Amino acid sequence: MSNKNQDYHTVSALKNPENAQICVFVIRIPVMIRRGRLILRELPPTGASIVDENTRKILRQWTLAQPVVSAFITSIVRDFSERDDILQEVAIAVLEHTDRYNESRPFLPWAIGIAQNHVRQFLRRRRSDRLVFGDGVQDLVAAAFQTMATHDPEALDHLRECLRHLDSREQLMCELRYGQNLKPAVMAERLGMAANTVSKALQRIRDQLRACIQHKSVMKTGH
Amino acid sequence: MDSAQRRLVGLYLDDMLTSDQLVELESWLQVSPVNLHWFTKELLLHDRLQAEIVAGAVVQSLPAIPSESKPPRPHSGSHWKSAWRPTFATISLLLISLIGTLIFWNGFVGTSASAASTELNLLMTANASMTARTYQIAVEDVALHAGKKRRNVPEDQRNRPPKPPMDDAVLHVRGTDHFVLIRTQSDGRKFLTGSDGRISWAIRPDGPVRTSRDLNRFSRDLPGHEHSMTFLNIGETLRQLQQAYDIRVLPEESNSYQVPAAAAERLLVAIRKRKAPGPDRVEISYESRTGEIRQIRLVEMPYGPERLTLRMTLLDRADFGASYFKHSQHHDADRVVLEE
Repeated sequence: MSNKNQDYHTVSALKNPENAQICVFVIRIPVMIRRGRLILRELPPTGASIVDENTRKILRQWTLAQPVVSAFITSIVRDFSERDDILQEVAIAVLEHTDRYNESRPFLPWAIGIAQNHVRQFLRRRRSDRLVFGDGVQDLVAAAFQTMATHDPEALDHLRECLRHLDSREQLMCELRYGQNLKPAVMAERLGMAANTVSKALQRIRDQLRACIQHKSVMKTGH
Repeated sequence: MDSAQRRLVGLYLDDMLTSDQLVELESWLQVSPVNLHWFTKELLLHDRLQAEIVAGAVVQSLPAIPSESKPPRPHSGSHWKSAWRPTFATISLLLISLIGTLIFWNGFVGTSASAASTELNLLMTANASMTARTYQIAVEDVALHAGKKRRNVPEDQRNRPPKPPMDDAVLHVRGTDHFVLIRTQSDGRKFLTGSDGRISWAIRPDGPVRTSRDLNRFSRDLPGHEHSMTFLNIGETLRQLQQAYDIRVLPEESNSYQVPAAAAERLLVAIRKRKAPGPDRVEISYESRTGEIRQIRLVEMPYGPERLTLRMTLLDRADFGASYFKHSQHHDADRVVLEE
Protein backbone atom coordinates (compact mmCIF):
# COMPACT_ATOMS: atom_id res chain seq x y z
CA MET A 1 0.00 0.00 0.00
CA SER A 2 1.52 3.29 -1.01
CA ASN A 3 1.88 5.91 1.65
CA LYS A 4 2.30 8.61 -0.96
CA ASN A 5 -1.23 8.50 -2.25
CA GLN A 6 -4.47 9.34 -0.64
CA ASP A 7 -6.14 6.06 -1.30
CA TYR A 8 -9.70 5.20 -0.69
CA HIS A 9 -10.33 2.21 1.47
CA THR A 10 -13.30 0.72 3.10
CA VAL A 11 -13.71 0.37 6.78
CA SER A 12 -14.24 -3.32 6.19
CA ALA A 13 -10.85 -3.61 4.57
CA LEU A 14 -9.24 -2.15 7.62
CA LYS A 15 -10.91 -4.39 10.15
CA ASN A 16 -11.81 -7.95 10.60
CA PRO A 17 -15.47 -8.22 9.52
CA GLU A 18 -15.98 -10.95 12.08
CA ASN A 19 -15.27 -8.54 14.84
CA ALA A 20 -18.72 -7.22 15.61
CA GLN A 21 -17.37 -4.78 18.15
CA ILE A 22 -15.55 -2.85 15.50
CA CYS A 23 -17.41 -3.26 12.30
CA VAL A 24 -20.97 -2.21 12.88
CA PHE A 25 -21.81 -1.15 9.39
CA VAL A 26 -19.79 -1.86 6.34
CA ILE A 27 -20.35 1.26 4.33
CA ARG A 28 -17.94 2.35 1.69
CA ILE A 29 -16.50 5.65 2.74
CA PRO A 30 -13.39 7.41 1.67
CA VAL A 31 -10.68 7.06 4.23
CA MET A 32 -7.36 8.75 3.92
CA ILE A 33 -4.37 7.09 5.41
CA ARG A 34 -1.36 9.27 5.38
CA ARG A 35 1.49 8.77 7.77
CA GLY A 36 -0.64 6.53 9.90
CA ARG A 37 -3.37 9.09 10.37
CA LEU A 38 -6.84 7.83 9.65
CA ILE A 39 -9.13 10.56 8.48
CA LEU A 40 -12.76 9.91 7.70
CA ARG A 41 -13.32 12.08 4.68
CA GLU A 42 -17.11 12.02 4.66
CA LEU A 43 -19.41 11.52 7.54
CA PRO A 44 -22.55 9.44 7.10
CA PRO A 45 -26.00 10.97 7.27
CA THR A 46 -27.22 11.75 10.75
CA GLY A 47 -28.46 8.71 12.53
CA ALA A 48 -26.26 6.27 10.71
CA SER A 49 -23.26 5.00 12.55
CA ILE A 50 -20.17 3.74 10.81
CA VAL A 51 -18.01 2.78 13.69
CA ASP A 52 -18.92 1.92 17.21
CA GLU A 53 -17.95 3.88 20.26
CA ASN A 54 -15.04 1.61 21.04
CA THR A 55 -13.49 2.20 17.64
CA ARG A 56 -14.02 5.92 17.99
CA LYS A 57 -12.15 5.81 21.28
CA ILE A 58 -9.32 3.89 19.69
CA LEU A 59 -9.14 6.33 16.81
CA ARG A 60 -9.05 9.22 19.24
CA GLN A 61 -6.30 7.56 21.26
CA TRP A 62 -4.36 6.73 18.11
CA THR A 63 -4.54 10.32 16.93
CA LEU A 64 -2.96 11.45 20.20
CA ALA A 65 -0.39 8.67 20.30
CA GLN A 66 0.58 8.75 16.63
CA PRO A 67 3.31 11.49 16.87
CA VAL A 68 5.08 9.58 19.63
CA VAL A 69 4.75 6.24 17.82
CA SER A 70 6.06 7.90 14.68
CA ALA A 71 9.06 9.33 16.56
CA PHE A 72 9.76 5.92 18.06
CA ILE A 73 9.84 4.27 14.64
CA THR A 74 12.10 7.04 13.33
CA SER A 75 14.40 6.52 16.29
CA ILE A 76 15.13 2.99 15.07
CA VAL A 77 14.86 3.07 11.27
CA ARG A 78 15.71 6.78 10.78
CA ASP A 79 14.58 6.93 7.16
CA PHE A 80 11.32 8.84 6.81
CA SER A 81 9.97 6.77 3.90
CA GLU A 82 10.57 3.57 5.81
CA ARG A 83 9.03 5.17 8.87
CA ASP A 84 5.90 5.99 6.85
CA ASP A 85 5.56 2.41 5.62
CA ILE A 86 5.88 0.96 9.10
CA LEU A 87 3.56 3.54 10.60
CA GLN A 88 0.84 2.56 8.15
CA GLU A 89 1.20 -1.08 9.06
CA VAL A 90 1.03 -0.17 12.74
CA ALA A 91 -2.09 1.97 12.23
CA ILE A 92 -3.86 -0.93 10.55
CA ALA A 93 -2.65 -3.41 13.17
CA VAL A 94 -3.95 -1.16 15.94
CA LEU A 95 -7.39 -1.16 14.36
CA GLU A 96 -7.32 -4.86 13.68
CA HIS A 97 -6.45 -5.72 17.24
CA THR A 98 -8.57 -3.35 19.25
CA ASP A 99 -10.12 -6.36 20.97
CA ARG A 100 -6.75 -7.06 22.53
CA TYR A 101 -6.48 -3.60 24.03
CA ASN A 102 -7.25 -3.41 27.72
CA GLU A 103 -8.97 -0.08 28.29
CA SER A 104 -7.88 0.07 31.91
CA ARG A 105 -4.29 0.43 30.76
CA PRO A 106 -2.67 3.34 28.94
CA PHE A 107 -2.94 3.26 25.19
CA LEU A 108 0.51 4.54 24.23
CA PRO A 109 2.59 1.64 25.62
CA TRP A 110 0.27 -0.78 23.83
CA ALA A 111 0.66 1.05 20.52
CA ILE A 112 4.43 1.32 20.95
CA GLY A 113 4.52 -2.43 21.63
CA ILE A 114 2.79 -3.07 18.32
CA ALA A 115 5.16 -0.64 16.60
CA GLN A 116 8.13 -2.40 18.14
CA ASN A 117 7.02 -5.74 16.65
CA HIS A 118 6.58 -4.19 13.23
CA VAL A 119 9.95 -2.45 13.42
CA ARG A 120 11.61 -5.78 14.23
CA GLN A 121 9.87 -7.49 11.33
CA PHE A 122 10.93 -4.66 9.07
CA LEU A 123 14.56 -4.82 10.16
CA ARG A 124 14.60 -8.56 9.53
CA ARG A 125 13.32 -7.98 5.99
CA ARG A 126 15.66 -5.08 5.31
CA ARG A 127 19.25 -5.42 4.23
CA SER A 128 21.46 -5.78 7.25
CA ASP A 129 24.31 -3.52 6.16
CA ARG A 130 22.89 -0.48 7.90
CA LEU A 131 23.73 0.35 11.46
CA VAL A 132 20.91 -0.12 13.95
CA PHE A 133 20.66 -0.27 17.71
CA GLY A 134 20.98 -3.68 19.30
CA ASP A 135 17.83 -5.33 20.68
CA GLY A 136 18.62 -4.29 24.25
CA VAL A 137 18.90 -0.60 23.36
CA GLN A 138 15.82 -0.83 21.14
CA ASP A 139 13.90 -2.10 24.17
CA LEU A 140 15.21 0.76 26.30
CA VAL A 141 14.27 3.33 23.68
CA ALA A 142 10.80 1.79 23.31
CA ALA A 143 10.33 1.89 27.08
CA ALA A 144 11.37 5.54 27.16
CA PHE A 145 8.83 6.42 24.48
CA GLN A 146 6.15 4.41 26.30
CA THR A 147 6.46 6.68 29.33
CA MET A 148 6.07 9.88 27.35
CA ALA A 149 2.94 11.94 27.66
CA THR A 150 0.94 11.89 24.47
CA HIS A 151 0.47 15.61 24.77
CA ASP A 152 3.66 17.05 26.09
CA PRO A 153 3.20 20.52 27.56
CA GLU A 154 6.59 21.47 26.12
CA ALA A 155 5.13 20.46 22.94
CA LEU A 156 6.09 21.28 19.56
CA ASP A 157 3.02 23.44 19.06
CA HIS A 158 5.21 26.44 18.38
CA LEU A 159 7.34 24.66 15.83
CA ARG A 160 5.61 26.11 12.80
CA GLU A 161 6.03 29.63 14.12
CA CYS A 162 9.67 29.00 15.02
CA LEU A 163 10.38 27.70 11.55
CA ARG A 164 9.54 31.15 10.24
CA HIS A 165 12.38 32.60 12.30
CA LEU A 166 14.95 30.63 10.33
CA ASP A 167 16.79 32.50 7.67
CA SER A 168 16.36 31.53 4.04
CA ARG A 169 19.44 29.30 3.92
CA GLU A 170 18.34 27.43 7.04
CA GLN A 171 14.87 27.01 5.58
CA LEU A 172 16.41 25.64 2.41
CA MET A 173 18.41 23.13 4.42
CA CYS A 174 15.26 22.05 6.28
CA GLU A 175 13.42 21.66 3.00
CA LEU A 176 16.18 19.47 1.57
CA ARG A 177 16.63 17.35 4.68
CA TYR A 178 13.04 17.03 5.84
CA GLY A 179 10.90 18.00 2.85
CA GLN A 180 12.88 16.03 0.28
CA ASN A 181 14.28 13.43 2.69
CA LEU A 182 17.86 13.96 1.54
CA LYS A 183 20.80 12.81 3.62
CA PRO A 184 23.59 15.30 4.40
CA ALA A 185 25.95 13.68 1.88
CA VAL A 186 23.54 14.43 -0.97
CA MET A 187 22.70 17.85 0.43
CA ALA A 188 26.41 18.61 0.61
CA GLU A 189 26.78 18.03 -3.12
CA ARG A 190 23.91 20.34 -3.90
CA LEU A 191 25.03 23.06 -1.51
CA GLY A 192 28.73 22.83 -2.23
CA MET A 193 29.53 22.06 1.38
CA ALA A 194 31.10 19.19 3.29
CA ALA A 195 28.67 16.55 4.57
CA ASN A 196 29.92 17.07 8.08
CA THR A 197 29.29 20.81 7.83
CA VAL A 198 25.76 20.13 6.63
CA SER A 199 25.14 17.77 9.52
CA LYS A 200 26.45 20.33 12.00
CA ALA A 201 24.30 23.03 10.45
CA LEU A 202 21.25 20.80 10.79
CA GLN A 203 22.12 20.19 14.41
CA ARG A 204 22.35 23.92 14.99
CA ILE A 205 18.99 24.44 13.33
CA ARG A 206 17.40 21.87 15.64
CA ASP A 207 19.07 23.51 18.66
CA GLN A 208 17.78 26.87 17.55
CA LEU A 209 14.27 25.53 17.04
CA ARG A 210 14.28 23.83 20.44
CA ALA A 211 15.36 27.06 22.13
CA CYS A 212 12.65 28.95 20.28
CA ILE A 213 9.95 26.41 21.24
CA GLN A 214 10.99 26.41 24.88
CA HIS A 215 11.01 30.17 24.96
CA LYS A 216 7.57 30.40 23.44
CA SER A 217 6.25 27.77 25.85
CA VAL A 218 7.66 29.76 28.77
CA MET A 219 6.14 32.94 27.43
CA LYS A 220 2.77 31.23 27.07
CA THR A 221 2.64 29.49 30.44
CA GLY A 222 4.50 32.16 32.36
CA HIS A 223 6.94 29.72 33.94
CA MET B 1 23.81 17.99 27.84
CA ASP B 2 27.34 17.39 26.67
CA SER B 3 27.88 18.82 23.20
CA ALA B 4 29.78 15.67 22.17
CA GLN B 5 26.74 13.52 22.98
CA ARG B 6 24.43 15.95 21.23
CA ARG B 7 26.65 15.69 18.20
CA LEU B 8 26.46 11.89 18.36
CA VAL B 9 22.68 12.04 18.41
CA GLY B 10 22.75 14.51 15.52
CA LEU B 11 24.95 12.18 13.49
CA TYR B 12 22.64 9.30 14.31
CA LEU B 13 19.59 11.21 13.10
CA ASP B 14 21.38 12.04 9.87
CA ASP B 15 22.53 8.42 9.43
CA MET B 16 26.18 9.42 9.56
CA LEU B 17 27.39 7.43 12.56
CA THR B 18 30.30 5.05 12.28
CA SER B 19 29.96 1.67 14.00
CA ASP B 20 32.24 2.85 16.82
CA GLN B 21 30.14 5.95 17.33
CA LEU B 22 27.00 3.82 17.38
CA VAL B 23 28.49 1.73 20.19
CA GLU B 24 29.36 4.95 22.00
CA LEU B 25 25.82 6.24 21.58
CA GLU B 26 24.35 2.95 22.82
CA SER B 27 26.55 3.06 25.91
CA TRP B 28 25.52 6.62 26.59
CA LEU B 29 21.82 5.75 26.28
CA GLN B 30 22.22 2.85 28.69
CA VAL B 31 23.94 4.98 31.32
CA SER B 32 20.96 6.99 32.48
CA PRO B 33 17.21 7.44 31.92
CA VAL B 34 17.94 11.14 31.64
CA ASN B 35 19.94 10.48 28.50
CA LEU B 36 17.13 8.36 27.12
CA HIS B 37 14.63 11.08 27.91
CA TRP B 38 16.73 13.67 26.12
CA PHE B 39 17.11 11.33 23.15
CA THR B 40 13.35 10.79 22.86
CA LYS B 41 12.73 14.55 23.03
CA GLU B 42 15.22 15.09 20.25
CA LEU B 43 13.54 12.41 18.16
CA LEU B 44 10.13 13.98 18.69
CA LEU B 45 11.43 17.30 17.41
CA HIS B 46 13.19 15.67 14.46
CA ASP B 47 10.11 13.68 13.53
CA ARG B 48 7.67 16.55 13.94
CA LEU B 49 9.94 18.82 11.96
CA GLN B 50 9.60 16.50 8.99
CA ALA B 51 5.82 16.39 9.36
CA GLU B 52 5.59 20.19 9.56
CA ILE B 53 7.76 20.77 6.53
CA VAL B 54 5.97 18.15 4.45
CA ALA B 55 2.62 19.61 5.50
CA GLY B 56 3.85 23.10 4.62
CA ALA B 57 5.01 21.91 1.23
CA VAL B 58 1.66 20.27 0.57
CA VAL B 59 -0.18 23.47 1.42
CA GLN B 60 2.15 25.56 -0.74
CA SER B 61 1.84 23.21 -3.69
CA LEU B 62 -1.95 23.28 -3.75
CA PRO B 63 -3.18 25.04 -6.86
CA ALA B 64 -4.81 28.37 -6.34
CA ILE B 65 -8.60 28.24 -6.47
CA PRO B 66 -9.82 30.56 -9.20
CA SER B 67 -12.14 33.20 -7.97
CA GLU B 68 -15.62 32.95 -9.44
CA SER B 69 -16.22 36.67 -9.29
CA LYS B 70 -13.10 37.40 -11.23
CA PRO B 71 -13.93 37.96 -14.89
CA PRO B 72 -11.86 36.04 -17.38
CA ARG B 73 -8.79 37.91 -18.47
CA PRO B 74 -9.50 39.61 -21.79
CA HIS B 75 -7.23 38.57 -24.56
CA SER B 76 -4.59 41.13 -25.07
CA GLY B 77 -4.14 42.05 -28.62
CA SER B 78 -1.01 44.09 -28.04
CA HIS B 79 2.01 41.97 -28.46
CA TRP B 80 4.32 44.50 -26.82
CA LYS B 81 2.37 44.24 -23.58
CA SER B 82 3.09 40.57 -23.18
CA ALA B 83 6.64 41.10 -24.34
CA TRP B 84 7.17 43.73 -21.67
CA ARG B 85 5.35 41.85 -18.91
CA PRO B 86 8.52 40.23 -17.54
CA THR B 87 10.18 43.62 -17.41
CA PHE B 88 7.24 45.13 -15.53
CA ALA B 89 7.34 42.17 -13.19
CA THR B 90 11.04 42.71 -12.62
CA ILE B 91 10.55 46.42 -11.97
CA SER B 92 7.70 45.63 -9.58
CA LEU B 93 9.88 43.14 -7.75
CA LEU B 94 12.67 45.67 -7.49
CA LEU B 95 10.28 48.26 -6.11
CA ILE B 96 8.91 45.79 -3.61
CA SER B 97 12.46 44.88 -2.60
CA LEU B 98 13.33 48.55 -2.22
CA ILE B 99 10.27 49.22 -0.08
CA GLY B 100 11.02 46.07 1.92
CA THR B 101 14.58 47.20 2.49
CA LEU B 102 13.39 50.61 3.65
CA ILE B 103 10.91 49.01 6.04
CA PHE B 104 13.65 46.69 7.27
CA TRP B 105 16.02 49.49 8.01
CA ASN B 106 13.30 51.59 9.59
CA GLY B 107 12.79 48.72 12.00
CA PHE B 108 16.15 49.40 13.52
CA VAL B 109 16.49 51.47 16.62
CA GLY B 110 17.94 54.85 15.91
CA THR B 111 18.48 54.96 12.23
CA SER B 112 20.76 57.90 12.67
CA ALA B 113 24.50 57.40 12.75
CA SER B 114 24.65 59.13 16.11
CA ALA B 115 22.36 56.56 17.75
CA ALA B 116 24.50 53.71 16.45
CA SER B 117 27.61 55.56 17.52
CA THR B 118 26.18 55.88 21.03
CA GLU B 119 25.67 52.11 21.16
CA LEU B 120 29.20 51.49 19.92
CA ASN B 121 30.60 53.77 22.61
CA LEU B 122 28.57 51.87 25.20
CA LEU B 123 30.06 48.61 23.94
CA MET B 124 33.60 49.99 23.98
CA THR B 125 33.24 51.25 27.54
CA ALA B 126 31.48 48.14 28.81
CA ASN B 127 33.92 45.70 27.29
CA ALA B 128 37.09 47.62 28.11
CA SER B 129 36.98 46.07 31.56
CA MET B 130 36.26 42.57 30.23
CA THR B 131 39.83 41.41 30.07
CA ALA B 132 39.43 37.62 30.26
CA ARG B 133 36.95 35.69 28.20
CA THR B 134 36.44 32.35 26.50
CA TYR B 135 34.59 31.90 23.23
CA GLN B 136 33.19 28.84 21.51
CA ILE B 137 33.57 29.12 17.75
CA ALA B 138 31.06 27.54 15.39
CA VAL B 139 31.40 27.66 11.63
CA GLU B 140 28.03 28.03 9.98
CA ASP B 141 29.10 28.05 6.39
CA VAL B 142 32.19 27.73 4.23
CA ALA B 143 32.37 29.01 0.67
CA LEU B 144 35.21 29.47 -1.75
CA HIS B 145 36.01 32.97 -2.97
CA ALA B 146 34.17 33.53 -6.22
CA GLY B 147 36.70 33.48 -9.02
CA LYS B 148 39.60 32.99 -6.66
CA LYS B 149 42.61 31.77 -8.59
CA ARG B 150 45.49 29.91 -7.04
CA ARG B 151 48.08 30.81 -9.62
CA ASN B 152 49.40 33.74 -7.57
CA VAL B 153 49.85 31.60 -4.50
CA PRO B 154 53.55 31.02 -3.80
CA GLU B 155 54.79 27.49 -4.38
CA ASP B 156 55.60 26.86 -0.71
CA GLN B 157 52.10 27.85 0.34
CA ARG B 158 50.41 25.86 -2.41
CA ASN B 159 51.54 22.57 -0.90
CA ARG B 160 50.74 23.64 2.63
CA PRO B 161 48.49 21.20 4.54
CA PRO B 162 44.94 22.44 5.06
CA LYS B 163 44.30 24.55 8.12
CA PRO B 164 42.81 22.75 11.10
CA PRO B 165 39.04 23.26 11.13
CA MET B 166 37.77 26.31 12.93
CA ASP B 167 34.45 24.70 13.78
CA ASP B 168 34.09 23.77 17.46
CA ALA B 169 37.29 25.65 18.28
CA VAL B 170 37.67 27.31 21.67
CA LEU B 171 39.34 30.68 22.03
CA HIS B 172 40.66 31.92 25.37
CA VAL B 173 41.56 35.61 25.48
CA ARG B 174 43.21 37.75 28.14
CA GLY B 175 43.88 41.45 27.69
CA THR B 176 44.56 42.51 24.14
CA ASP B 177 47.45 40.25 23.22
CA HIS B 178 47.07 37.00 25.16
CA PHE B 179 45.18 34.17 23.50
CA VAL B 180 44.99 30.41 23.15
CA LEU B 181 43.11 29.02 20.17
CA ILE B 182 42.31 25.30 20.46
CA ARG B 183 41.21 23.56 17.30
CA THR B 184 40.39 19.89 16.92
CA GLN B 185 41.59 18.07 13.85
CA SER B 186 39.44 15.51 12.08
CA ASP B 187 41.38 12.73 13.86
CA GLY B 188 40.41 14.23 17.22
CA ARG B 189 43.88 15.56 18.06
CA LYS B 190 44.28 19.16 19.20
CA PHE B 191 46.12 21.90 17.35
CA LEU B 192 46.90 24.89 19.55
CA THR B 193 48.14 28.35 18.71
CA GLY B 194 48.58 31.18 21.14
CA SER B 195 50.40 34.18 22.45
CA ASP B 196 51.51 35.21 25.93
CA GLY B 197 51.98 38.82 24.85
CA ARG B 198 55.71 38.31 24.37
CA ILE B 199 55.97 35.15 22.33
CA SER B 200 53.52 33.64 19.88
CA TRP B 201 53.51 29.89 19.45
CA ALA B 202 51.98 26.89 17.70
CA ILE B 203 51.69 23.35 19.04
CA ARG B 204 50.86 20.73 16.45
CA PRO B 205 49.84 17.28 17.64
CA ASP B 206 53.23 16.04 16.48
CA GLY B 207 56.53 17.65 15.58
CA PRO B 208 58.29 20.45 17.41
CA VAL B 209 56.62 23.31 19.18
CA ARG B 210 57.22 26.48 17.17
CA THR B 211 57.64 29.88 18.79
CA SER B 212 58.28 33.39 17.52
CA ARG B 213 58.85 36.83 18.95
CA ASP B 214 56.67 38.17 16.15
CA LEU B 215 53.27 38.23 17.86
CA ASN B 216 51.50 38.04 14.52
CA ARG B 217 53.40 34.91 13.47
CA PHE B 218 50.88 32.44 14.87
CA SER B 219 47.80 34.59 15.21
CA ARG B 220 46.90 34.43 11.53
CA ASP B 221 44.21 31.85 12.07
CA LEU B 222 42.30 33.96 14.55
CA PRO B 223 38.90 34.88 13.11
CA GLY B 224 39.13 38.36 11.62
CA HIS B 225 42.93 38.46 11.68
CA GLU B 226 43.26 39.16 7.98
CA HIS B 227 41.68 42.55 8.53
CA SER B 228 42.89 43.22 12.07
CA MET B 229 39.45 42.49 13.49
CA THR B 230 40.28 39.66 15.82
CA PHE B 231 38.24 40.98 18.74
CA LEU B 232 41.28 40.43 20.97
CA ASN B 233 41.24 44.18 21.31
CA ILE B 234 37.51 44.81 21.30
CA GLY B 235 37.83 48.59 21.49
CA GLU B 236 40.10 48.72 18.45
CA THR B 237 37.88 46.38 16.45
CA LEU B 238 34.77 48.38 17.28
CA ARG B 239 36.52 51.58 16.20
CA GLN B 240 37.31 49.92 12.87
CA LEU B 241 33.70 48.91 12.49
CA GLN B 242 32.68 52.49 13.10
CA GLN B 243 34.86 53.67 10.22
CA ALA B 244 34.39 50.96 7.58
CA TYR B 245 30.89 49.69 8.26
CA ASP B 246 27.33 51.00 8.37
CA ILE B 247 26.09 50.32 11.87
CA ARG B 248 22.50 49.68 12.92
CA VAL B 249 21.03 48.36 16.16
CA LEU B 250 18.15 45.91 16.18
CA PRO B 251 15.37 46.32 18.76
CA GLU B 252 15.49 43.95 21.72
CA GLU B 253 12.42 41.89 20.99
CA SER B 254 13.51 40.89 17.50
CA ASN B 255 16.14 38.56 18.79
CA SER B 256 14.69 37.72 22.17
CA TYR B 257 13.49 34.21 21.41
CA GLN B 258 17.05 32.98 21.23
CA VAL B 259 17.78 33.77 24.83
CA PRO B 260 14.97 32.40 26.96
CA ALA B 261 15.07 33.39 30.59
CA ALA B 262 18.13 35.52 29.95
CA ALA B 263 18.58 39.26 30.16
CA ALA B 264 17.33 41.19 27.15
CA GLU B 265 19.80 41.33 24.32
CA ARG B 266 20.32 43.68 21.47
CA LEU B 267 21.86 43.01 18.14
CA LEU B 268 24.22 45.44 16.50
CA VAL B 269 24.56 44.83 12.79
CA ALA B 270 27.50 46.25 10.87
CA ILE B 271 27.35 46.07 7.08
CA ARG B 272 30.61 46.54 5.22
CA LYS B 273 30.85 49.67 3.11
CA ARG B 274 31.78 49.32 -0.54
CA LYS B 275 35.43 48.49 -1.10
CA ALA B 276 36.19 48.25 2.60
CA PRO B 277 37.99 45.01 3.53
CA GLY B 278 36.68 42.47 6.04
CA PRO B 279 33.61 40.32 6.57
CA ASP B 280 30.49 41.33 4.66
CA ARG B 281 28.55 41.67 7.89
CA VAL B 282 29.38 41.63 11.58
CA GLU B 283 26.62 40.96 14.09
CA ILE B 284 27.25 41.61 17.75
CA SER B 285 24.73 40.41 20.33
CA TYR B 286 25.08 42.14 23.66
CA GLU B 287 23.18 42.57 26.87
CA SER B 288 21.28 45.79 26.45
CA ARG B 289 21.65 46.83 30.09
CA THR B 290 25.36 46.26 30.59
CA GLY B 291 26.67 46.21 27.03
CA GLU B 292 28.45 42.91 27.63
CA ILE B 293 29.09 41.21 24.30
CA ARG B 294 27.64 37.69 24.25
CA GLN B 295 28.11 36.67 20.66
CA ILE B 296 29.93 37.88 17.57
CA ARG B 297 28.90 36.61 14.17
CA LEU B 298 31.15 37.21 11.20
CA VAL B 299 29.34 36.70 7.92
CA GLU B 300 31.31 35.89 4.75
CA MET B 301 34.66 36.53 6.37
CA PRO B 302 37.70 36.14 4.09
CA TYR B 303 39.79 33.28 5.47
CA GLY B 304 42.54 32.10 3.18
CA PRO B 305 40.93 30.89 -0.02
CA GLU B 306 37.56 30.60 1.68
CA ARG B 307 34.84 32.80 3.03
CA LEU B 308 33.57 31.67 6.40
CA THR B 309 30.45 32.52 8.30
CA LEU B 310 31.13 31.84 11.93
CA ARG B 311 29.86 32.54 15.41
CA MET B 312 31.90 33.27 18.52
CA THR B 313 29.79 32.71 21.60
CA LEU B 314 30.96 33.89 25.01
CA LEU B 315 31.29 30.85 27.26
CA ASP B 316 33.06 32.19 30.29
CA ARG B 317 34.73 35.23 31.79
CA ALA B 318 37.07 33.36 34.09
CA ASP B 319 40.64 34.65 34.22
CA PHE B 320 43.02 31.72 33.81
CA GLY B 321 46.01 33.87 34.71
CA ALA B 322 48.90 35.03 32.53
CA SER B 323 50.83 31.76 32.80
CA TYR B 324 48.03 29.83 31.07
CA PHE B 325 48.94 31.63 27.86
CA LYS B 326 52.52 30.37 27.83
CA HIS B 327 53.14 27.51 25.43
CA SER B 328 54.86 25.44 28.14
CA GLN B 329 51.47 25.06 29.85
CA HIS B 330 50.09 23.12 26.91
CA HIS B 331 52.68 20.51 26.01
CA ASP B 332 54.93 17.96 27.67
CA ALA B 333 58.22 19.27 29.01
CA ASP B 334 60.22 16.98 26.73
CA ARG B 335 58.80 18.38 23.49
CA VAL B 336 61.29 20.06 21.18
CA VAL B 337 60.75 23.83 21.00
CA LEU B 338 61.97 25.71 17.93
CA GLU B 339 62.23 29.47 17.84
CA GLU B 340 61.67 30.99 14.40
